[in-house]
This record gives sequence, C-alpha cells and structure tokens, in this order.
Amino acid sequence: MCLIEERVTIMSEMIRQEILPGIFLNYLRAERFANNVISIQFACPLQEDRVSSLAVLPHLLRRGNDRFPDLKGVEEALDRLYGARIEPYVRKKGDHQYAGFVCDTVDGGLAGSTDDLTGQLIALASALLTQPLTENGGFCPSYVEEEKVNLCERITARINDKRSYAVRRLNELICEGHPAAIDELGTLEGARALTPQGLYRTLLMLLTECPMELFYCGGAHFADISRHFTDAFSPLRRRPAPLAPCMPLLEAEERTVEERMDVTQGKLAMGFLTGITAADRDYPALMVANALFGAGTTSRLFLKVREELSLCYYASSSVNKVKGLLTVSSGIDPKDFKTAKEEILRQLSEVAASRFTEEELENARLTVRGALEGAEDSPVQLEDFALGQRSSGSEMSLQGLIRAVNAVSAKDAAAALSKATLKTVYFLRGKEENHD
Amino acid sequence: MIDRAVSRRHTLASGLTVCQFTMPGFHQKYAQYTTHFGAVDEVFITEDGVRQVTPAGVAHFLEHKVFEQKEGNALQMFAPLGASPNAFTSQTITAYHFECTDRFYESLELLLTFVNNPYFTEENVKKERGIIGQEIGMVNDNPAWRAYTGLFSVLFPDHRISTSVIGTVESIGRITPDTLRLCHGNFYSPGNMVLTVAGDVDFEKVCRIAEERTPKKGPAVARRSYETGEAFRGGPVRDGMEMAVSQPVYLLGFRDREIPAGCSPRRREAAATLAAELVCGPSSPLFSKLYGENYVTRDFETEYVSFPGGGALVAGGEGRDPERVFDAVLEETKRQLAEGLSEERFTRLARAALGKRLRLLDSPEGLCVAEAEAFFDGESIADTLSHYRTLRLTEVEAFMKEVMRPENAGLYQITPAGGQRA
Repeated sequence: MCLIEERVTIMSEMIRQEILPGIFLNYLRAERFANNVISIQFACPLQEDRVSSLAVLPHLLRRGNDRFPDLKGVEEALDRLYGARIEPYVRKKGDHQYAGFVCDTVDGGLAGSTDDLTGQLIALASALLTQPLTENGGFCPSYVEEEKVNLCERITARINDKRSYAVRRLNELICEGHPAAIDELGTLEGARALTPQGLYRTLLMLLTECPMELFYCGGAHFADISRHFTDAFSPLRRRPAPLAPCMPLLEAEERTVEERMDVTQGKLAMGFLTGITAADRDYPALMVANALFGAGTTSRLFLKVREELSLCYYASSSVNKVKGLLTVSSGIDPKDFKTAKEEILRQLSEVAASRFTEEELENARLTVRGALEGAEDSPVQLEDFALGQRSSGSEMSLQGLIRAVNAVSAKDAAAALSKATLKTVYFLRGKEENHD
Repeated sequence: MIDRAVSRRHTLASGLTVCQFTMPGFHQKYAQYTTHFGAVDEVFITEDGVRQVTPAGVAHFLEHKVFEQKEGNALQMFAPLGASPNAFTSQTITAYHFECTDRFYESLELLLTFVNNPYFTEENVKKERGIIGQEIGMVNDNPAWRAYTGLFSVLFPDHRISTSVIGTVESIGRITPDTLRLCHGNFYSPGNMVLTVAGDVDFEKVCRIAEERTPKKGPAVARRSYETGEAFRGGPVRDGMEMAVSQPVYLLGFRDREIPAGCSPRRREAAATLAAELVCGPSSPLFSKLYGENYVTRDFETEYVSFPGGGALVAGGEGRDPERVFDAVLEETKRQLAEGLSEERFTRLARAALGKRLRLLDSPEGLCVAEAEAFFDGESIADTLSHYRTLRLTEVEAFMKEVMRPENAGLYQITPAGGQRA
C-alpha cells in the first residue's frame, strides 16, 4: 500500500477555476502525453423542451462558421493542425445534459511543427461555438435540415446495439418521471420540430446564461490555456444561471418489463436503487462492492454466473454515480431467464451478507484501483470523470478516490451493497420464441 | 518523446522477439504475447509434410481454450495480481494480453507461462462449444460484423480471408482436443511469436523473464495455404442481407493483390490510406457533398486491411443509400485520376495522417497491437511513421489506378428487415 500512496502524491491534481462568469476551467498539467485534450461543454438541466436543441447544436456548429462556412473548410483547417479532432459530444450525467466539443491535437514538437497547435485548436473550436454561420436571424436552413435527419438517425440507431439498448431502456424505466429518464438525444418529434431561428435563439441563450465546463490536459501552462479560453469567450456578455448538483433517485416503481425484437440472444437488465452517489461517503465502498458483485473478471457475476454456471454469455454490473443506481447487464439464452435472474440476485445477497473472502475483497479493490489509475492515463476519461463529479456535487479528486478505495473494509462493502433494492427488470427477447 | 515511437528490440536464442516502448509517468503497463496464427491459417502443411485441414474458427476456439490450465482458468490467476487479462483473434494473429498498474513482472510471468501450457480435455472442449455457440449468436446479431464478413466473402471467395473468424456452430462442433494440440504445437512456436510491452518498465528484466518462461525451441513454422478452390469473377459485386437495423449498414471495398516480396505492406497501407483520404476522406469534396445530402455521417470510416496473399481498402458506415455512396466513390476516383491529383491536398493530408498515427503514443495497448502487427510484416511503428513522412503522390496515384477500379470493387449492405424502416 505504501508504494501506491507515494506514487499518487507525485501526480499533479486537477485545478478548477472560474475564469469568466459561469465558465469553469478544469486544468491538469501532464507532460507525459503526446496529445493535448481540450473540451468545451455547455452544462444544463435535462429538460424536454430543450433536450433536442442541445442534442443537435454541437453537430450543427461543427458544420462551419463565418470563417469556414462549410465542412470541407473546417476539415482542411484540422488537417493543417496535423489531423487534430473536434468531436461533437452529447452526454447525460444524471439529470444534467452536457453538449459541446471534445478536441485533441498532437504535440507540435513531436509532429515537427513550431506552431502553437493547442492555441490554434482552442481558437478554432471556440469560434465554431461562438461565431456561427447565420442567415436571416437563424442558422443556415439546409444545415439544420441535414443535421435534423442525422439526429433522427442516431435516435433510431439506438436499437442496433441490443446490449446498450437494453441498459438504456432499463434506465428509462427505473428513472421514469425524473429528468434522468429523458434520452439525451431527445425524441424524433422533438428533433423534427427544430427550426433555424429557434436553434439560434437557444445558442444565444446558452452563450449568455448556461454554465460552461472547459477542460485541458497536456503539457501547456495554466496561464497560457486560461488566456486562450479567455480570449475566445470574453466577448460574451455572461449572466450565468447556477446549476445545482443532481439528487439521488430514492423511489421507483417495482416492475418487470418484457419486450420482443428480432434477436437470437436475450438481454436481461436489472436496475437497483442504492441511494449512494459520488458525493456520499459510502461511494468508495459501493465501488468496491460493485467489483465484488459484478465488475471485472474477479466478480461473482463473471466467475459464478458466466464461467461456472454458463448461464450468461456476458454479465456485469455498473454504478451510476450521479443517480445512485446499480445496474446489471447480461446476455442470456431466453430459456434461462428465470434461473439467470435468480442466480444474479443470489450472488448479490451473498455479497451483501458479507459472504466473500478476504481475497475476493482485495481483488475487488485492485479492480477498482486499476480502473481509476488507468483513467489517469487517459485525458478523455479524466474529462468525463470531472463532469460526473460536477453533476454529483462531489469535490473528490481521482487521487482522493483511489486513497478512499484502498481503505474500504469488508464491512463497508457489504453494507453499501445491502442498500441495493431491486426495482426494475427489463428483458429483451426474440420475436419467434414461444411464450413460457 | 519521439523516441517513444521506437521500440527496443531483442530476439532470444529461441527466435522469440521482444519489443518494448518505454512510457515514463504512465501508470498503465501493457504486455501482449502474439502468435502469427489467425483465422486464415486453417489449412497448413506441417514440418513432416502432412497437409492439415482444420475446421473454420479453430484459431479463435484455441484462443478461448489456451486459458484453460491444469490448475484452473488462467483468467482468474491474474485477479490476485490486479491485472486485466484478455485475448483476441483476428484473421492473421492471435494475441494474449494484460493491462495492469502494479505487479507487472509477476503478471508477465503468468502470461508467458499460461500461453505455453494449455490443458485441453474432451470435457472442457465440449463446454467451450456452448460458450462459443452463444458468441456466434451474438456476433450474428451485430450488423457491422455481418457487413465485414459479408464484404470479404464477396471480394475474396478464392481466399481463406472470406471465412468467419469465429466459425459456425457446425464447424466448431468438429474441433477436438487433438485439433487444438495440433495448432498450438505448430504455431505457438517462439519463432512465430512476438512479445510487445509498453509502460514504465525495465527492458532487461522483461527479456530475462521471457527467456525463463518461454520454450527454448519450437518446431519450424508450418507452411500455410490460403486458396479455397473458388474463383473471384471480378467486380463490381453487390450483395447483402436483411436484419433488424434502423437504416442500412454497409461496407464497400477494393480488392488488392498480394504485395510483392521486397515491397513494404506498411507503405502500401500508407498509400491506400492517402488514396482513401483524397477520394472520400472528411476534407474531400465528395464527403462534403454526400454528408450534405445525408448519404454519409461522420461515422463513415476507411481502413486498409492487409493479410498474406492480399489486401483490401474498405470504407463504410451507416446511411440511407449505400449504392449511391458506392457509385459515387467509384466515379470520384475516376474523376480525380482524369483531372490530376492535387499535390497541395496530398501534402496537407499526409501531414494530418502522420498526426493521427502519432496519437498512438499515448496508448500502451495501441502501441503493442500496432507493433505486433507491423512485426509480422517485417516492420515497426517507426517504419510506419516514416512512410507517412516520405510517401510520394505518385505512389498514391499508382495505388488508385491499380486497385480502386470497378473490377476490384464490392459492396455488402445490411438492410432493414422486410424493407421496413424500424
């Protein structure tokens, strides 16, 4: 354990600073990376009347601005920055929606360039967000129509990957009645109702009122990064509205929902309430308990349910740290529905009743610690972690979390898992099978 | 930091090569032990001259079973060390790897030991058929997988690249412990393998462990035969199937010939990549046009796949009318060749392609996978990067003229079931 402690302290911690009203820069100096990662995100409450606008805006703004009016111009500018990327991202963290760009560029020196590629990339990405191409007080109508079509396709494409589709449906069911149930891409109707003028008004509102989360990880100094972002956003007249952290989900209807689709492998998903979020002191214990139960190759779901009993092709559990949920996702032969479900629940109650070995506990801690330390090597994961902490209202750093995970006892882990109560079972199965 | 792209290499007396990338400051450490044996290697002639025909999917089946040890499953033995082990099988290689932050050397010892000491029994092979049977069901539900295997089956009916990596329920039913021993014995031989590691680790120590934990010698590597007895009648070929998808998922591609001895597969790949960028990459006029008409999305991707006896440039994604994209790519290639390729665009795209390859440097896993693949082609990541620095437009033009022709082209699309959009 001593070794770990020592290494953690040499890592620099993330700095978070409000550089302009409601614009927060999350900065991490890390010279070991060959790439610089930058993110610019609008952070807003998930709301049905606005979700579709936010879902389409990053894609629409990525099409071009007053300087590079078409996709070809933007892509050529990125080619000149040694293949830098500006990727539209739309995410959900509990009851919050994040929309914006995640960008990266290779270290200039490495590519044989003397230019400040990072500074130029920040300028380009910010200009796409703040200086859009407009006509008649709205966005370019053909771009809007095309991006509406793309959004509709992304929504309908949700069914293509049955594994994630089942987990998504489960989440919708368990969070029903709460903002967290809203799909961050919105609905087809919502997408079709978008207009060039309405979208432009939403953008102006976001630029004025919406909290923004900026992120940088790479070798540049804080002062330089802060200056690049300040230059880009200081012309905005900001009157930001505060964004409150999400609350955990504490109640949900108990039910089992079965749906049929053209699949050969059944998908069984199960949703539990734990009441524990990342802001909770029990959260590190829940992470360890989750690893004991269902995350990674030392977990009960993997070793017992998948390997030993061959009841599932895959079976794993995960934690939603913003809403305090525990979710099981598995692929099964539909005839095994009842047996698989019972076995999954049996393993959960075993762990909750402290019936696990010291070795299993240590393996679980290692799994969690390995994942968290792995995240430190991935700027994109660090960015996502920062947003999750923001939405949970947790101020704990990744290193702090690693230390807390090391200290989780058997009693803590069992106690955290014993709070998990099953609320929703979702089963996706083939159309052709017989009902049983 | 540029040195990070150059691996240290050492070949042991047994013939096993060790490659390492040093990554100071990274927590993650990654090691991959790879054999040059994949799905295309079903038919081979052993050292004693016997021609062996093994069932489709044997390399993948073996990958699952190698984890089986006398003492139990090797996957579980990594757990107390805090490492995450896994494996994959491609058309040309089988790789066993782990990732960890602590106790790297112990996990490395375990990796090298278990891969060389599998334990096959009638019973555990029988049980695996059920597990892989499930996996076959799962990949059969995956439209991108079906498009990939579909395209190779229409473009390469004459080559074993057309068979599915995972096999069929019927073919894996014919796999026995003896089949697995035969393949393991012939291909998991030091001279046919490479160990790639990346992270903040000691190279000398890695080599010492490799020396101790791997066989001192192995059989000469079996000769393989890739012909299927079928013939390719020439393109353009169009084929497809129906599935429960919201909109068509497709892959189009061009069949490339075998790269002549002495030529570099990685340079061929660089030329193919630049050709694809010029014709239909994100900054091409065609991409802008197709995107603007909602025929392609930003998920549209291109890739060059090389394998013994051939190669293919493929491109695909999702979109409402794959036929339209297929025709447009053929037309645009013809147009650009007729009007002359732009040196300015080429220079800009080559620079961007180099930058994209340099991203690998932050990924221990990415480095190890790419280095192992390059190694079996007699090259390295450093070679790949230098190809992008020195490639000439004339090479790209030659590739387009020779390969990107209708006679070599194919399209495979997965369309929504019943002609209905979901």
